[in-house]
Amino acid sequence: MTNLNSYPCRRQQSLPTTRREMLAKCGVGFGAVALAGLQADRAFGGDDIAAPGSAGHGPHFRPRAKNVIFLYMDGGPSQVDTFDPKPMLDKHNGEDPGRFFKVEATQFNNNGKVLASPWKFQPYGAAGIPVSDLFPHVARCVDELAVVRSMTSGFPEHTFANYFLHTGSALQGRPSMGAWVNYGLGSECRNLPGFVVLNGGLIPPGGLDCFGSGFLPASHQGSVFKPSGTGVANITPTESSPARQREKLDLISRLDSMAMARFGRHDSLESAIKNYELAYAMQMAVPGVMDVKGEPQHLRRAYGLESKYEPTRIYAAQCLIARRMIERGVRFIELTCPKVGGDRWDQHGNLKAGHENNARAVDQPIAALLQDLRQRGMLDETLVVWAGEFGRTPFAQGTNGRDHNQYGFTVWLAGGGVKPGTIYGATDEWGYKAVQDRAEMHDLHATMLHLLGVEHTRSTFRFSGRDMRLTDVHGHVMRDIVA
Amino acid sequence: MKSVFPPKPIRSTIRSGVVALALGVGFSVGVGRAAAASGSAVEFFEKEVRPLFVKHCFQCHSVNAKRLEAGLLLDSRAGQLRGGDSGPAIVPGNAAESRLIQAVRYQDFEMPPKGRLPDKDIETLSRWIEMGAPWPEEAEPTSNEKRETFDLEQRKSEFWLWQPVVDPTPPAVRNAAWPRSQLDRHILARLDEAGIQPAADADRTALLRRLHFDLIGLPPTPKEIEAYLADADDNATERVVDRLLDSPHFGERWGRHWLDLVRYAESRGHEFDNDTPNAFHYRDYAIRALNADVPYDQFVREHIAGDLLTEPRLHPEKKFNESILGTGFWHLGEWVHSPVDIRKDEADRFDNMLDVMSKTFLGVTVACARCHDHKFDAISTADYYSLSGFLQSSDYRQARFESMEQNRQVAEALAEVDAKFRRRLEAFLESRGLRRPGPVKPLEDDAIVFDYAAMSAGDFMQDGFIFGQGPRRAGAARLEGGALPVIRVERFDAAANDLIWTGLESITEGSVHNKSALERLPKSGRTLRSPTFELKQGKLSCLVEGSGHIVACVDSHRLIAGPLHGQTIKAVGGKAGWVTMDLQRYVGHRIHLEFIPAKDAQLSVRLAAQGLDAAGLRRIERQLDDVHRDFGVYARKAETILNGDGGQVEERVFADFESGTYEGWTVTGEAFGAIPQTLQTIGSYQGRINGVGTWFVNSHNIRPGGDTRRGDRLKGTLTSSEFTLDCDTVEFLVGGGAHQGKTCVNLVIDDEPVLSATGKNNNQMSLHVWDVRRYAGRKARIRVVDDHEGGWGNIGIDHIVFKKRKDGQVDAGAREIVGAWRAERERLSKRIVRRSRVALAMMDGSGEDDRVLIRGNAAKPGKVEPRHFLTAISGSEPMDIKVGSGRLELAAQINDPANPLTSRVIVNRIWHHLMGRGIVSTVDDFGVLGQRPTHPKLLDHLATRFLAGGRSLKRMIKYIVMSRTYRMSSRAGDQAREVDPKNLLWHHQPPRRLQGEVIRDSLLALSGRLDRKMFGPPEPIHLTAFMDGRGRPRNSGPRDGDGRRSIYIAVRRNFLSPFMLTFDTPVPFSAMGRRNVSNVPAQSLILLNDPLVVELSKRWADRALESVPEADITERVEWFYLTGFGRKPTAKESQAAVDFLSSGTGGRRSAAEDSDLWADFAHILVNAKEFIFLR
Repeated sequence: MTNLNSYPCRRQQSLPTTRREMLAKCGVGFGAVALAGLQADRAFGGDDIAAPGSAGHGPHFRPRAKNVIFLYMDGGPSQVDTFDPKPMLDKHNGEDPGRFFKVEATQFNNNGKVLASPWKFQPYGAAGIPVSDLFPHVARCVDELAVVRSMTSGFPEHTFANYFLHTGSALQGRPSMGAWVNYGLGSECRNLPGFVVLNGGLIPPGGLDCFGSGFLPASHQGSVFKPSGTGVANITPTESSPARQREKLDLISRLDSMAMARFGRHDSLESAIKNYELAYAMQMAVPGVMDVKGEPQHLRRAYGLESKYEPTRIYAAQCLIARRMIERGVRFIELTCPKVGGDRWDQHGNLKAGHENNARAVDQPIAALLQDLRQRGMLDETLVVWAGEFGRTPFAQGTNGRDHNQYGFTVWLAGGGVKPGTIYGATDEWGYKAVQDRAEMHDLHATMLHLLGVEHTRSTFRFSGRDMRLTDVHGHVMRDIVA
Repeated sequence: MKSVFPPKPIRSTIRSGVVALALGVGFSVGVGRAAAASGSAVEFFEKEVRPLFVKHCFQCHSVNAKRLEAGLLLDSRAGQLRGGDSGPAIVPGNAAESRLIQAVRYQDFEMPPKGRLPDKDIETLSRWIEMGAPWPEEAEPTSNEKRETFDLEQRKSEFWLWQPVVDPTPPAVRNAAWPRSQLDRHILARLDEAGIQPAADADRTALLRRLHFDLIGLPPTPKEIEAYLADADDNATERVVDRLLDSPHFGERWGRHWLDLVRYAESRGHEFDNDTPNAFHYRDYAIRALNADVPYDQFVREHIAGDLLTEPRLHPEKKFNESILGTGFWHLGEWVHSPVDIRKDEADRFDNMLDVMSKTFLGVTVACARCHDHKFDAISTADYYSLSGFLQSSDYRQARFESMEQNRQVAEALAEVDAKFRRRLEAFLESRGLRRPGPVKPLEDDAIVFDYAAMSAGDFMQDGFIFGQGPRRAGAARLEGGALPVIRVERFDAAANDLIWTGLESITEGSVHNKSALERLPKSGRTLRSPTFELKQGKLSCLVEGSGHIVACVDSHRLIAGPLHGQTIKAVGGKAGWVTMDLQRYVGHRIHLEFIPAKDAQLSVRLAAQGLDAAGLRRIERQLDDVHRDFGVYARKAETILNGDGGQVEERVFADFESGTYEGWTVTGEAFGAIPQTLQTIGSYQGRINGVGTWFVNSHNIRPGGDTRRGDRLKGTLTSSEFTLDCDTVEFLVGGGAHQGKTCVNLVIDDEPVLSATGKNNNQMSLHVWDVRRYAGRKARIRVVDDHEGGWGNIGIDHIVFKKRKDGQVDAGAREIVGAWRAERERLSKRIVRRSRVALAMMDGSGEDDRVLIRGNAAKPGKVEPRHFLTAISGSEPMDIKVGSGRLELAAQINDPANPLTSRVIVNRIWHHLMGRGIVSTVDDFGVLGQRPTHPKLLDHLATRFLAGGRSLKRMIKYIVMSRTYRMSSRAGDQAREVDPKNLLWHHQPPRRLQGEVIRDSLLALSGRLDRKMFGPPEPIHLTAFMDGRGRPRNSGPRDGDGRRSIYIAVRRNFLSPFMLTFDTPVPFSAMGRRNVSNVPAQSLILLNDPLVVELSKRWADRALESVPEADITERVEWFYLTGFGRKPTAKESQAAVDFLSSGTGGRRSAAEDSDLWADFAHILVNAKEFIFLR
């Protein structure tokens, strides 16, 4: 007989014995749906933090970060126009890139000349990290950042690359990293979901499946909130008054206890009954966290809630609500981009105007978020990640755009145990391909999990004949950016 | 670790020697063993080379690697020579050919992965290999850990699953009165062993509700409950079971289980969520097949190869081909709209198709063997790629399943008729002294990839019948023309469509949005498919004539909308000649071509050649002309004899409006405006119109100056000046409304219309022909009439041509043959079914064995693996496949009674749905990582019975629900609970939470809103504000889905129903035989606050007020319990309800009339757990 334990991805699971295990293990939840991820029951939540070494669950060692804010830059910002300056592009602007290097196939295959960045770069902060004029506010926080210039992806199409960035696999239907983090660590919050997506307006290509729980229990899936109004579906009672709803709930509860006599005692029924009290509590908690009116005026202004540019105001609200959610213990928050009129960061043409609008929407709110977290002493425990699904070509698509480039691009991390003021890895002299300390998406995931105290090879879930994990069979922690 | 590449020959030891001498280093090179290297060479190795290996390679490529990558050991010379999955790492003496050097240069592999080595280090490694790769004598390092080897036979012999199904002897039990069947004996015997008493029988109301939900997914009505409770007969339950199995709702309930397995969805997901057109025909097929209880082996056969059955199963009334619809399941997966790497995308799709197929039918995870031999099961990588060959040999299409069988018969008859008359004409010509030249040898030229002059019968492939039974042969006669038949004689061999099939219409229903450039081509039933070949050169040229499209399918891959640069689609139009495609990007791939004639047009294809420049193409053409010269002469002479003057027809354009005026015509009313139209004036939304030249007539007069608001409402006429009919036919293009006599073109004689034509409710004009010979010599006018105000109240016309056959002498004998031929063809033409709905299906292609992809990497093909079934079941010998893909042979292997998987897997699925947990609880994975059967003998008993009983799913379901085991109560005894807390032995029937679909369907049923209509295009999904993203359907469906059962609501991958997702309906990406049963507050929040739930609860209450009009609260409460829970309330429950209903009213109206109050009560019951749990 094959020795099962000699394989690294192998972990034996016996049949579940307790209700909690039963729920956690038989549970296979799917897709992203508003509020499905509310933490019903400690069965899915905080008390799942097991001793180091137990299968699937962390933390496995001392966590540096407790929460994650993932600033998803939809469409793929250009590395050579943001955080990775390349003088060669100025020098050879307008020349045929094929003279200098092999130009790989791109999605549109309408490849033009070498294209210099329309923006100037300057060094900022004590570390002297260069940032382009696109990000004047973030530039002032650059001493908080670890800039990874050697990120790569396996996929030059949005959807593949989005699933890859979000789930570690290019296929649809896998658990998102927010779901994995909640699966691994549980939630610290009983009446808010552990994984929230604050949707600024642009759901990424690939759709809500970017935030799904895949084969993990449904409780881990991302809950999509709008940064205004009630935030989320089915949270507002339909009864004329809270008292009326209370009366109804009381009768439901009485009838249920009578019915239990007929069914006999069953964990599944008891859990379903308990759910109602939690649902009731959440109806209160959600409006509370969404209400930013009580925030002081100077903070509202700093975030950009009073900006003249509407997308900035939307993103400001997202960032501010994200901080409020962190304060209440929400484990993982992803922010999607607001609509800026043109396209997401996907400038196949009109690079100048498109990137400027996208940067204008997010720059000030991101900087305010970093400073606010720092001032409240929360940044050290909150990991902030800024990333798109890929970068863009250093040569033009047509004359004034850039096509998708998965061979080398920039992401940055801040807070949560990240070594601040660092630059990690490098692309070639054109900013085309990563050549030094090349990092894969799996490495980013492994590093994020590491900072959260989770050993990425040990956080697994049995599905489809395999022990699945966020990093598949890959992934190395980028130790040089860990403080 | 085996290497899939044969070792490359070592180039030349002499050369190495020369290099070594030149370097002043002397040593001999041994192959496969350590070279006895000189001191200085060793010193170089130890100082410069080994440290590089240690630093950059050993982490993954040494015996001490935590995880050995690619099976490659670099820590010994032998290891480097042996190599890994991709072959030897080094070729001593030849750095350029060494994979190690290619890898560090980032040419092929990119190693080390973290970043390229400095040039200096690469230089060092190259130099070392050029020196002959000197390495000191040392023992090959060994690891402490023993690495696993893959031994398929051993794994097979050691695991239960691969052992044959053995009919077990029924076990003995203590209480012989308890079992109703052998099934019960198996359960009871195990309970006896554990000393556990089975639970009591469930009460009859619980049993009835359980049966209703399990078999049809809808609650019993009060009438059904009362009837059952009143029926004291022993067979009462059996009668209920039979009634439910016969219900059309059975197929809807079990069809939903089946759809979970085949990741059913109606869109492709990914970036734009494009349609999967006509997917619902597969859903309807599954429902019908389950209702008809199609034997499971037939059901399997139809899924795998329903397109290949010589006698397909026909719909009992509509007589269409049911079997082919089963193959749709292969194509229900996600598709990417424009992948950059087609081969990789193709490999991913195959992976999903094989994953779904193998889990669904075989309960094993074949897809785990894509990159390496299965880690645990007796399934090799070779097995995986042997199966992917079946897919490589098969294609996607939208099949005309409704017209297929009838048109197949017409096509066969047509071929016979044509052959008969060709023979007669050839004999006739011989009698006139004209002899057909002997056949010519096809051209032999390396550039030719296929040639219809030399095509074997098996390589002649098409979707549909319009290209006949084979290519047209030089010298063969062909009948052309309708009213004026003309004989044409072929000058050369070519595949060409027969215009008798003109007017085929393929219907796609329920489309939401589809950016596909390909779906718009009129492909269905009209596509000629070339054999598959390897593309060696970027330029591919086809010698064609006529108009239509050529599509290059790379690796049999179907693109949705891409590639964005459009190189694989080429429009063809006009004269005979070469059409060249630029396929540089796909050199090295295997491709085939598809030829699609334009609508109602002719397209003929002679051959295709690759890599030729203009001179090369001319050379081929010259050679073809040379060898066919005799046929040209023969054809001209034959046509003169048969058509008199060679079939010349005189044409006169009567009007084409190209002057831009109505000169010579008289206008009345407003509809036609003052002048004719152009594409600019008619409005771009009307499409291409299909006119000749710039100007045409159309009475949809909304051009500038016309009335844009009144559109169809304008009326008028357009009448020509008078002319004398002296021609045979009047032909013109007509489009617009189909209203007889209202929107029409008339031939008017003596002010009376004698002939009339309308459009087809479509402004794309098509040819219409009037035979006017019987009116010869009469004076006439043409009048265009718009006398209709509603939809399609317009008419269009263009390019009116008078045609007359030139007088000539035609031999009476020839005329008789041609006349008879024409008559027979017309008779057949009338039998053609031109309009048909289409559905996604398989199409067979060239038989292609796939290559093993090394580590699953599409860029690294290894050796060819012939097609066969799983080695562990039927060995690895290539399957005996006569022609095509071999899927029919594959289906036979899956269905083979000796195959131990298929029957066990399906009976286990049925058990799972009825008992809440499979005998093997991991229903899609019976492998080593899955769970072992709790009752292996019971599993084999069920499998044996299933095989013996004609593989009837309904009979198996009945067998299980009629058992005592199924009918146990959900109340477990204390002692049983103590001994077996997980109920592994089934001492009670566990309460089961209803699926999302069943909860919603129940609400619809109780509210009276349920629409029991079956089948058809999906009901649009209701879109909430939180369902956003690319591809969002333009229109939201109604909140209640128009009352349709949930199985008919649209399944759009990127816009799945939040209600269903929350209640664990699976995301459609892989086979999912066992749904999760999660418990999250979102479920409570939906039942508490979702507007649909609140609305349907209210309607349920309204029904209660109607059904129980008496103001008796308790009676009404009783009605609620009966409809909602299938039982009467207890006294306590009744009292609690009455308390609530009376306390809430306060000083208002009495409870009996307060519909809001009753709506609240209904809502409470929906939220009671009994509503969503089965007792």
